[in-house]
Amino acid sequence: MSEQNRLEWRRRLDRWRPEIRTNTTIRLGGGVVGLLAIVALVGPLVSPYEPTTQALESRLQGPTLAHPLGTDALGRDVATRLTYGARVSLALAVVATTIRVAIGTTIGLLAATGGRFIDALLMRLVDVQLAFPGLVLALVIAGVLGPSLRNVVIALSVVGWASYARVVRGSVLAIRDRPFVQSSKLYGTPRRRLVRRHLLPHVASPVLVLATLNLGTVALAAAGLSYLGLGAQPPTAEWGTMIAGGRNYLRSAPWLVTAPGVAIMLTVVGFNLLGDGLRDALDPDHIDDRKRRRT
Amino acid sequence: MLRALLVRLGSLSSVLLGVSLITYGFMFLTPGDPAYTILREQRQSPPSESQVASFRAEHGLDDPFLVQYVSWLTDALQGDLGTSYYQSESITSLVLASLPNTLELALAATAVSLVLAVPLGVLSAVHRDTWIDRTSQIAALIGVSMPNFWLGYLLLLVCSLWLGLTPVGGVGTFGHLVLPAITLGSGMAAIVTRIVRTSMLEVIEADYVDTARSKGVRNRLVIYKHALRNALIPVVTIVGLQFGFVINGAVIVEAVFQRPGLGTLLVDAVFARDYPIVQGVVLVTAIAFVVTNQVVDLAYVALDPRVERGERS
Amino acid sequence: MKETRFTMDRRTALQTTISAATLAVAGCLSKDPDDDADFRIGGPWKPSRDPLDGGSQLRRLGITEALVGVDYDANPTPELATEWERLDDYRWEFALREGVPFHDGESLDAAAAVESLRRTADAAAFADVPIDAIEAVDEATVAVETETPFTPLPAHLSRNEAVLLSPEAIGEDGSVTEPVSTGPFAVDTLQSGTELRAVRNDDYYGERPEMEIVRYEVVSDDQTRRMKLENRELEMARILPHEMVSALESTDEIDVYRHEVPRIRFLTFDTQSEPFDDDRVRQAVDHAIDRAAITEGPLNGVDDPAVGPFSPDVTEWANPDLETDRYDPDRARSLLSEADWTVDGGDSVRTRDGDELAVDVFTFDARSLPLIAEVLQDQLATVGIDLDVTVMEYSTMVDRVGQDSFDSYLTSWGTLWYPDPDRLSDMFHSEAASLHHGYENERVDTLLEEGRELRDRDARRERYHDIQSLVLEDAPIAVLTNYANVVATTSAISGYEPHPTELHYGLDSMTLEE
Repeated sequence: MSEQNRLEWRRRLDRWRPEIRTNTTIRLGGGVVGLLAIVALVGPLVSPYEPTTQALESRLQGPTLAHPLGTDALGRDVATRLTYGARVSLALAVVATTIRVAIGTTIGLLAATGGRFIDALLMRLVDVQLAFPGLVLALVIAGVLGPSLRNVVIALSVVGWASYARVVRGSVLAIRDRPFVQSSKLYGTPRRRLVRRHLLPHVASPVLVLATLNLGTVALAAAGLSYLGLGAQPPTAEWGTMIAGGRNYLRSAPWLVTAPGVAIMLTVVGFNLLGDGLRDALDPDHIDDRKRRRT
Repeated sequence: MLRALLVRLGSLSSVLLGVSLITYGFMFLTPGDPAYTILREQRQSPPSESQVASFRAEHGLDDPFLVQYVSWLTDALQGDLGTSYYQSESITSLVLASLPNTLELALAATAVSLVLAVPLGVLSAVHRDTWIDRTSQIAALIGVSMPNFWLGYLLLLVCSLWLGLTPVGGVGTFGHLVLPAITLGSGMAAIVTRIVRTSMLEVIEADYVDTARSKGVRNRLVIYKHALRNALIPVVTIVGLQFGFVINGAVIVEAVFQRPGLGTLLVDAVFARDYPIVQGVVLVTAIAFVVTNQVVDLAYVALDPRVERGERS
Repeated sequence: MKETRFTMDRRTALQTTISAATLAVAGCLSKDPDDDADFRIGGPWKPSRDPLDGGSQLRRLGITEALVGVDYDANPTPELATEWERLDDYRWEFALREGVPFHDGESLDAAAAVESLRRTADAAAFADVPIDAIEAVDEATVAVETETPFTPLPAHLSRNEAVLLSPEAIGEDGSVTEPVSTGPFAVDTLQSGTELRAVRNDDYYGERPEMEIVRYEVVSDDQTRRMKLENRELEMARILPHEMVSALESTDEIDVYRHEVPRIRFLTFDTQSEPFDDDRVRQAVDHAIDRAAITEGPLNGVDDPAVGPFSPDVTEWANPDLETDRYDPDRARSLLSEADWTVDGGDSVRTRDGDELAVDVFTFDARSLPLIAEVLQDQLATVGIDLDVTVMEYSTMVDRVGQDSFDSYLTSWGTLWYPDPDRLSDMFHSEAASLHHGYENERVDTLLEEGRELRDRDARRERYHDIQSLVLEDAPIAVLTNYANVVATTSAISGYEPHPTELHYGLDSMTLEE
């Protein structure tokens, strides 16, 4: 990273910083997400149980001191499984979102900086992707590939990138003709440097906001796919799968469905708060609720 | 104007072509041989290699991809989506049989979301930064963050099992529609509430409201009625765009409440690897989705004089 | 000023909210006003129009009937044929019940039966039944000739695909628009894959059922089926998961029936690929499994442990002398060591030449199989086998194991869905088996071929008992449990007698208290 490049990033970061500090929404969301991250990291270490060790003699026990969230149909500690599930859910959301961002940003940049033809072609591709209701497409892809967490990540990465491509392309087009970009072009700045120094920093904030908001929807969609039976395989602890597995005990052991349900909700609330807060703070006019697609 | 319309139609059809290509392409990505699956199902025992080979030849499964695709597309354009692997029923009739149930759910969910969201959004905007605003924002946040399969179970537990008010699953009466519509509608309501709030705020702060005020229009109701009417324009758009959300949600909500519909049809077919059905349902939903978006776009242009024609992408 | 604004808006908002709530409550209160069925059944299976597409629901509801039925000991019994005779090794004659009308008023004669049976015999579902010719001998006698001596013929003619349909219901091209047969109920409306409504057939030749209108509804989710029963949206819920039994039994006004059916849950090994190409590894798995822990734990004691394909409680074809106490983890460990799978160092998974003893098991989400797979995972780990479970949809699994090599799969099979022990050919014959174990044992093949041709019941029984002992030792599959169907009804239903092969629900003998 060149010095100038760093300065540009610095400038932008400084512009956000005071707002971020004062923004309670961000703090709240960050708090929830941070808490979950701690649970995911530390929980498995402090728990006296293994997530997959069965104890058939103590199955379906209600919440007790030994098992604060009870045990499941195979006598496994629900609380322990929940903390392992946090690892799965967080990792899944982050990985899938990162891939979406990478694909979307690349395509958006290519469209904005390439020729007319490339632009038209890529944008048609974006239109085609957006023509499918996200979860429907993800469901079909995950179903075709077969049930596994990896395939859920693939399915959710393939469907969600188009909004990033649009946002990135839009932001780049908005500044492409500004004097500072034009002048560096005139000075013969290589395209890669141009992209890195002027274009990427400009698209960073809308992409960051979109991605944070997206983490929540990705976590929800992943839980939904797992709930339908396309995700984690036994004995892996995953929240959606845990809800599906607890379904048959809805009356006799309601904690099996409630605990992972609350966990999913908290995670998504956390990501959404963080995203909303970032949006308010950064106020990139490119994103409003109308463009938030749910997948 | 006509030119703009033609351009729009052109891009629309190219998108639909891409959609159909991808939809049909799925079958070729899938591991396994449809001929084997069909024969095994018919015979209830594994077929031999020669049986599979002759079936493939007979049904044109060995033809090149493009040949098969074109013949499928030609049929699809004439309303024939093919036949399921497992049932002798035509896919067109399966889709047509499930479509009304899903549409019914979609409309009911939209109604629920509007009924919840409009008052909530207006109250929020009018009482900006008060506890009312905050409560409604928290409600919206929770609504959008709740996994709908989980909410569905909670509602089932309370409304159907404890209180005995609603039927548990299936379709038929208005009662069957209530819980699924609330489950699906609440997530939508959360999003719509935000839109109503935001656009209501914009309108309230806009000049003409001030003008009206300064001219001495005392009746607040008049002002808010006026403001609301303008604030609802983006709501029309969002409701239209929520179609995708409804279809996504229907996949899961129909599974929870065991409603026969497009969502259940799709999920069952994905699991049974009944690809002709998968292709049919995906194609139909994608087309419906694209067309709705276009219509909403046009409606938006027509409703709101501020939108520049032809510039929206 | 500020005050008035508050009231104004609150009132409008309140009004809207209240009207929404009223709407919702009104919705809650309207409960199936136009559902006039006496008896509503919910089950996971989808009804289809054409019996050849899997006509089980049509048969179970008493709409379709075949020449041959199945009695409560799971043996073939007269239905539309009053008796049959095997004239020689190849030729059979079936005497039709007289004076039987189809639902459309056409009468059942030999010509009609022949037309319907020929359609069945030509179908893919009957491809493995060696029928050579079907012809009418006289008005009321149908003859069937087979290509080879084939003792299980009557059993196959009891299958749901072999039901007799009215000639009017069969189109020129052999397609069926409406399943018009002779049973105590006739189809009123049928929405394929969703719902089937049947009305009483007042011209039925047998005893007239008490119920007039019966509705079968597809409710694929177990929990929903149960809740619909509890919520009085159904009178009968079929095939409930075992984990619900105790809760349901303690529910007022719900009767729970659990009856053993000829069905087993079992592991199938790929005997053609490592590591299960080695008998000792398969036997080790067999001995490492604590079947009682499975049935007592996740299955709530509803099913019994099993080691062979048939249960002695259900059929006399079962070999009662099979050694049932197979659980012996030490023996499993020594078998694995003999096969050079050894424990080295602190690692719990056995290795051979640097390869870990890690095997896949595929299964699907029904009949508590995923739960059992997880228990197996735990049990096999104690002898040093690392079991990796993948839960997929049934047809995905079958396609996959049918076309590629695999390690093992966990499945559930009806072992008498046509009531003849020749079903063991589907399981163990080296060429005819539809299980994908690749198992070959000449002795077993010979016994199966003899059993299929022999006419004497005792001689057949002896052979089938031998086969069961042989495969238990060779272990191409490891049988885990028998299976009991769990069916629950409201207490208003009486006279329900569960049928062992679920051929029919017995609606004609059930009564309903008001």
